[in-house]
Amino acid sequence: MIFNLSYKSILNRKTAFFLSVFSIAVSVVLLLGIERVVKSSKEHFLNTIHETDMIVAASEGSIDILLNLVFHVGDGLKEMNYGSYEEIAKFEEVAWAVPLSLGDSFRGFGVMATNEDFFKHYKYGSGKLLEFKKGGNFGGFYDVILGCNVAKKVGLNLSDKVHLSHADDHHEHKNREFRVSGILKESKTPNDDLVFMQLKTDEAIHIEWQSGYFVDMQIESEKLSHMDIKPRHLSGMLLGLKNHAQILQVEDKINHYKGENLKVVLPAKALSKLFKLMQYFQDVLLFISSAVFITALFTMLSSMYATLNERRREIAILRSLGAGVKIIFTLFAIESFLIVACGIVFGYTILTLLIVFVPSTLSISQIPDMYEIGMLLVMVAISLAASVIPAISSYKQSIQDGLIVKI
Amino acid sequence: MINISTCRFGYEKETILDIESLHIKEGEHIFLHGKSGSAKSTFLNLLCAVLEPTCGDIEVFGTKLSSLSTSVKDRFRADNYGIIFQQFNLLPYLSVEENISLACGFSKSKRATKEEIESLLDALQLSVDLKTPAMKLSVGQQQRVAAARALIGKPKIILADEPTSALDGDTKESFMRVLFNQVEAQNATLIFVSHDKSLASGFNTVYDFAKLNRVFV
Repeated sequence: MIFNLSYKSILNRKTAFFLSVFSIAVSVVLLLGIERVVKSSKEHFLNTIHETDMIVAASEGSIDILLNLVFHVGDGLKEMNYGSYEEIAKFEEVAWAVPLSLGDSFRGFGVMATNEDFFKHYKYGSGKLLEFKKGGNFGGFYDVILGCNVAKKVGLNLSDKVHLSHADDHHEHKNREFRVSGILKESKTPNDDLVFMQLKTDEAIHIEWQSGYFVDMQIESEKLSHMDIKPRHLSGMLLGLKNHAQILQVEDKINHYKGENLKVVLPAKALSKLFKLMQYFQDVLLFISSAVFITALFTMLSSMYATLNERRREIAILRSLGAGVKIIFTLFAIESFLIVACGIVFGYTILTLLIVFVPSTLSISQIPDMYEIGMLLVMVAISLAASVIPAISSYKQSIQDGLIVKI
Repeated sequence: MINISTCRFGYEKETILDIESLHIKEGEHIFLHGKSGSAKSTFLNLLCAVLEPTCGDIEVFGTKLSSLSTSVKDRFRADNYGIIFQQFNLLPYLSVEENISLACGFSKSKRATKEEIESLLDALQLSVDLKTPAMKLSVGQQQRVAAARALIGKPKIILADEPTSALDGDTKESFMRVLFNQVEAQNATLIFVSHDKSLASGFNTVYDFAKLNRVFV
C-alpha cells in the first residue's frame, strides 16, 4: 500500500520528480563516464608498447625519450650515433634492434624513419604486431607506409605518390617523390597517426640539406637511391633481448658504453612513471564529477523541500489515519530511492549509448566493474541518508500542524 | 467512555485550552459549537492523541492517552477513530476506493472489502465509480467519500470538524442526514464540531465550547 501511495504521490508531482531524476542521471553519466575513460585510457596507455625490453637514446630524461619515441610528441631528442646502434645491435644478449629517427613531417603527421624490422618486432597490446590493411613492408627505396588515420584523413591509397616535408610543413622535399607501399590496420596506438619511411632514405634525401637550408645538388632520385648513403644519426632504438633476465646486465653495459653517453629506458617502468604524473588530473576529474553528484543531490533535496508545503495536507491526512513517523520517513526514503534508481538507470542508458555511438580512439568498456557498482551503491546510500532531512522537517511540521492544516 | 478531567494545553506560558471535566458516553452524539479561535481544533487534536495535554489527562476506553508511546498512539488512532475535516480530506491523486481503503492501511482492526465500500457509499447516497480520482469529485461528493473513509471498519469514535462548512444548504442537510443514519447504524460515538448552531438538532448533548474552555470564561 505504501508503495502505491508513494508512486501515485510522485506521479502527482512528476515534473519535479523528472527534473531530479535527470540531474542525477547527468551526474551518473559524468561519474561513470570519467571513471571508464580514465580506466580504459590507462589500459590503452600502458599497452602502447609491449615486449620491447628497452629503449636506448642519447637524451637524458626517460619520460622525454618515451614521449618522443613511443608517443611521437615532444621536442625531439639529442641524436645518437648510428655507429652506437650498430655496436649495441651486435651485443650477444640482443635478439633484435630497431633504429628510430624522427624529424620530418607529412601534412601535420609525424614521419618516423626506421627499417622493415620495426614491423617485425614492435608489439603493442597483449603482444600484437602492427598489421597491414593494404600492401606490405618496405620494398623500394622511396616507399612509405601510412598509419590508418593518415591514409583516411589525407585520402590516400596504395601506390599513391606523396611528398614529405622537411622538419615542419613549410619546406617540402619537392624533388623526392614517395610511393605508398603499405597502409596499416587500426591499432589504436600512436602509430595510427604516423608515416613510416626507411632510415637510409631519410639520410639520403637530407644530404641536400645543410644547416637547415636546401642546397640543390641536382641529383636524380633514381641515382640517389643507388648511392648507398649510410645513416649517421638516429633518435633512438628499440631493443629486444634473447633473455629478459639479462636486462640489468645489458643496461649496465650500455650505461658504460665508451662511444657516447646513452640512456636506457625500461618501457614498463617509464610508462607507469608517466601515468603517475597524470594521476593528478584523474583526481581533479573525479572531484568534479563528485561535485556534480552532490549538486544533483541538492537538486533532489530542494525539489523535495519545495513540495513540503503543498504536502502538509497530505501528511496531515495520513497522520489522521494513524500513519506514524515510520510511514512518513518511509515515504521520503522511497521517493529519494526512486529518484536515484531511475537516475542511475537513465544515466546508465545514456552512457552506454554514448560509448556505443560516439566514435573514440579508446576502447571503452560497456560493462560495469565492481568499483562502479560500489560507487552506485554509495550514491543510493547517500541519497537515502539525505532523504532523512526533508522527512524530519515534514514530521516536525506535521506535529505543529496537528490534523487541521490551516493554509 | 471518554473522560477528561482538568485538562490543560498551551504553548509556553500561554494556556489556550482548559477543560475542567467532560464525560462522553458510548454511542452519544455530541455537538460542540464555538467561535473560531476558541481552540476547538486543539481540542480535537488532543482527543485523538496528536497533541498531548500540558497537564491533566484524557482517558479513552479506560486507556490514559498520555501513557501510550507515540507509535501506539498512532495505532490507537488508526483503530478507534474516524476523522472528517472541513475540506481537503482526500488525497487528490488517489481514487475513491484507494482513499477509503487508506483507513485500513494503518490499522489492524479495520478491514474492508470492495462490497463493503460499495454498500457504505450506497448508505451515504453517493453513486460514483470507485475508480474515479478524488480530484474529479465535487466538494459534496468529496465530503461523502471522507465520511465513508471515517466510517469504514466501524471505528468507535467519529470526529467531525466542521464537515459541512464547505457545503451549500441542500447538500448540507442531506450530508447530515446520511452521516447520522450511518453513525447510528454502526453505533459509534459522534463528536461533531461546528460554529453553525442550526445543525445542533438531533444531537444528544450540545456544548458551547466557549463555556467548556475555561480560558474564555
